[in-house]
Parts: sequence; C-alpha cells; structure tokens
Amino acid sequence: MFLAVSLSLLLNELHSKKLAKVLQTIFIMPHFLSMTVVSIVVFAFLSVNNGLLNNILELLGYSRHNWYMERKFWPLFLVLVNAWKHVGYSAVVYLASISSISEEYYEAAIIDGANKLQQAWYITIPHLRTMMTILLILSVGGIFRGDFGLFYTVPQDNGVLYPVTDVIDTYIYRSMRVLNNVGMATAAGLYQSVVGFILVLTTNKIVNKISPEYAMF
Amino acid sequence: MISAMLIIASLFVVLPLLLVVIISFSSAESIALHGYTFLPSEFSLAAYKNLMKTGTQIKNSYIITIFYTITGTVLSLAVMSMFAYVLAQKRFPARKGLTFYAFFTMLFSGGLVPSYILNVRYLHLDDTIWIFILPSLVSAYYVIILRTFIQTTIPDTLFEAAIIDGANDFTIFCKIVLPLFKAGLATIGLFNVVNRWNDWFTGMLYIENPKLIPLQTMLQKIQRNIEFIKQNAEFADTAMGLELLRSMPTESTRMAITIIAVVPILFAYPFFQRYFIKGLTIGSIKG
Repeated sequence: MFLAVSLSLLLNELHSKKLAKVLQTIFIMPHFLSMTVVSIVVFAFLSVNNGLLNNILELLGYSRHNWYMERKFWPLFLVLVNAWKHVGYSAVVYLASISSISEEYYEAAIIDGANKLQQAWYITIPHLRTMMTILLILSVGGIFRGDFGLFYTVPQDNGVLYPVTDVIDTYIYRSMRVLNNVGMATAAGLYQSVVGFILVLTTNKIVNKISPEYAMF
Repeated sequence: MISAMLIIASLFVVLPLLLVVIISFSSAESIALHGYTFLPSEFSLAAYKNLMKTGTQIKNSYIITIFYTITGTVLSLAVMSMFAYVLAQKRFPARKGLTFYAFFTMLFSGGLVPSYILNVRYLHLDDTIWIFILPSLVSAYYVIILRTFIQTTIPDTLFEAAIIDGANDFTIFCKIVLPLFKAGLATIGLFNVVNRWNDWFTGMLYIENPKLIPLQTMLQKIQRNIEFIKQNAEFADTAMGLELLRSMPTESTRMAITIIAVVPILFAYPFFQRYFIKGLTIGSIKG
C-alpha cells in the first residue's frame, strides 16, 4: 500500500501527459496477466539450469541454487511477485481518486508557501483516506483467503515448499482433489469464510468508531 | 528527476516480460549454452514455427477460450446491467433487501467445496463449456459498481419523465440507461474479459475433456508436467519419462505459448483505457 500510494503521487507529478499515460499502461500491465503466465515469468528467473538469477550468481562466482527446493527465500519471492503484479493497478486506482481532488486546495497551499512534499502530505494523502480505508477493510477479510493462483502456480505446487507456501486455499484444494478428504476440505472452507466475515465486520466497526464517514456500511 | 525515477521503476515491470519474449525467440542451442539471458547468441523463429505446425491442441484451446470469453462477457454484462438497473430504481420496494442479498455474497461464501459439489453433482456443469460461463455470470461486486454508476450519472427525474411519457422499464433501460452507461459497461466488460481469459483454475478443476481445455489451463499443465519430470530424476530416466520429455514442447516453445496467451489481453487494454480510469473512480464510491 505504501508503494502504491507513493507511485501514484509520483505519477501525479508528471507534467508530460503522454509519458504519464505510457507509464500508467506499463505499470498496470502485470495486473492483466494470469498467474500461470506470472509463474512462467518467475520460472525464467529461478529455473535451476537456465534461470537468469542463477546465471548472474555464476558470473559473480557463486554457486547455482535450486530455488524451488529452498524454503527460506520463498516468503520474499512471493511478496515480490505479488507487489510486481498489483502495485501498478492500485496506483492507478489511487491516481483516479487523486485526480478528483479540487485544484483549489493546491493553489491555496502554494500561496501559503507549501512545497510539493507538504502538499502531498497535507492535501493528497488525507483525501485518499476513504479509498485506503475501503481497500483495507476488504483486504482484511481476505487475510485468510490467500491468492490461490499465487501460492499454487508460482511455487509450482512443490511439496518441499509447503511449509512456507501452503495457505488455506491450497490446503482445501489439495484435501479435495489429491487427498480426497471432502469433509476436511469443507470444514476448512467454512472456517475460513466465517473468520473472514467476522474480521470484516470487526474492522468496519472499529473504523466506524474512529471516523464514521469512512466506514463501508 | 521524477520521470527518471518512474522510468527506472517501469523497467522493473517490463524487463521480466521482455525476458520471456526474448527466450521465445532464442534458438534451442543458445538456451542450452547460456541459459536464459537477455542477449542470446542466436535468434530463431523455430518456436513459433513449431507452434504453427504441431499446435492442434493450442488452436483448439484458443478457440474455446475466445468463445467463452466473448459469450460469457456479453451474457454477463446483459444480466448484471439489468440487475443493476432494478437496484437503482427508487420506486422498487425490495431494493434494499435485494442489494443486501447481493452484497452478502461478497462478504460470505461457502467456499470451494460446496460450489464444486453444486456444479458437478446437481447442475452437472463439469466437462461442459457452460462451466466457464454460468457460475461466473453475476458478480455482486460488479453489480454494485454498476448500480452506483447508474445512480450517480443518471438523475431520477429522467426516469420519472420517461414514465410520464408512457415508457415501460424495458424501454427506459434500452433507450435511456444503456446509451448513458458506456463507460461503466466498458470498465466492467474489461474486467470480465480479463478474468475469463486468465481463468486457468476452472479448467483445471472441472474439465477432463481435452477438447475443452482453455489456453491458460493448458499452459499450467505443460509447466507442471515438465517440472514434475525434472524433479523426479528417477522417473525421467525410465523409458516412459524420456518419452514424455521428448513429447513436451521445448523451452522456447513454452515461452512462445505464453506470449500468444498474453498478447490478446494486452491489446485489449488500450482499447478500453479511455473508459477505464473513469469507471474506476465511479467504482470507488462507496456502496
């Protein structure tokens, strides 16, 4: 979220309309790729024999790693991949709400002698708060709902990596299709839904307490 | 200064994709020698030629994917916009209740297993083309966005005037709402196209018939099988393993399949971009 907001602030500062448009298109691109495609892109970097990362390591004199067998790096990889895929999209969403802020605020601020950084901090970010809150509420509900595609395809459903890449969704899928344990899978799914539901209601309630106008319902 | 920073950041986005493009144009020898690099020693079109020659499965999947993406999106937009129109009418008494009914599915769902059982055992949608179209026909989130869009862009007085002139709901919907509604439809349409095109999971879960496997699922299967064989070296040494490995597409061919799976969607985006940002802002207005 921090990355997305700062990216949208930077994009907003661009003077050239054309460049801004091109860059927006580029940043949003990964959002339209399927996880399968993303997993192949990741594979191009991490593949044992041919991967770019290993090639670079070898050039620098280190030994090749079998990334798909090493647990400790995966949390980092998954976070990076997720950021790569979604930051651009969130930035464009924020940018859309930035463009709806009235110019007058900025003009007044400039007269008062505020610099760009102060303008961003005191005008733009407060205006984005509603947007950020709504996205936060929705994502809290999704905490237990990992992105199935991300966790299933990108580590290639690799047994060695389960301890660091298995989320409830992949567990449910495996219980159902591979282990054939339908009862367990249903229970896990229901549990996930109930907890998610309660989390959304709670966050919404807390937000409601602090500042009612930001709550969703 | 800012543009320089942003251009560098955009390189981080583009380079990984570029790498895949370059691999798809590298010759097999070059990959064997240097691995995947940005500067292969030899370019070749072999991967794409290979695809054209042997790709009956790919052509099949392409046609299936295009078919259900378009049909699904059109049907989906039709149903959802009518639903949204009804929810936007102040004179419709069950409006609040129906909105909550739709909204609730966003907050709470049975999960994967109940929907699987419903689709397979009761609706018998598995292994048919309908599995790609029907269960995803209505998304509560999009319906609410569309409803908000109607509420904010079309004033109620317009509806009232039309009713006085003797128009019924269907005429109002076709003659007034739809023409004023293009940005909303385009945005939701784009989301719909992208989601359907990129959906590999439905195919993996429900489809056994090779004639119905969509593009993304096929890609996923190819990748999985190759990794499986490679990681089980003992299996790869057996005759069956070797046979399987030989029948698999080469690495550059795989990358080429990836490229042709991505290109249509990237071309679709600029087409919709005009409406997209506007649609997003509307969608962000709270329900």
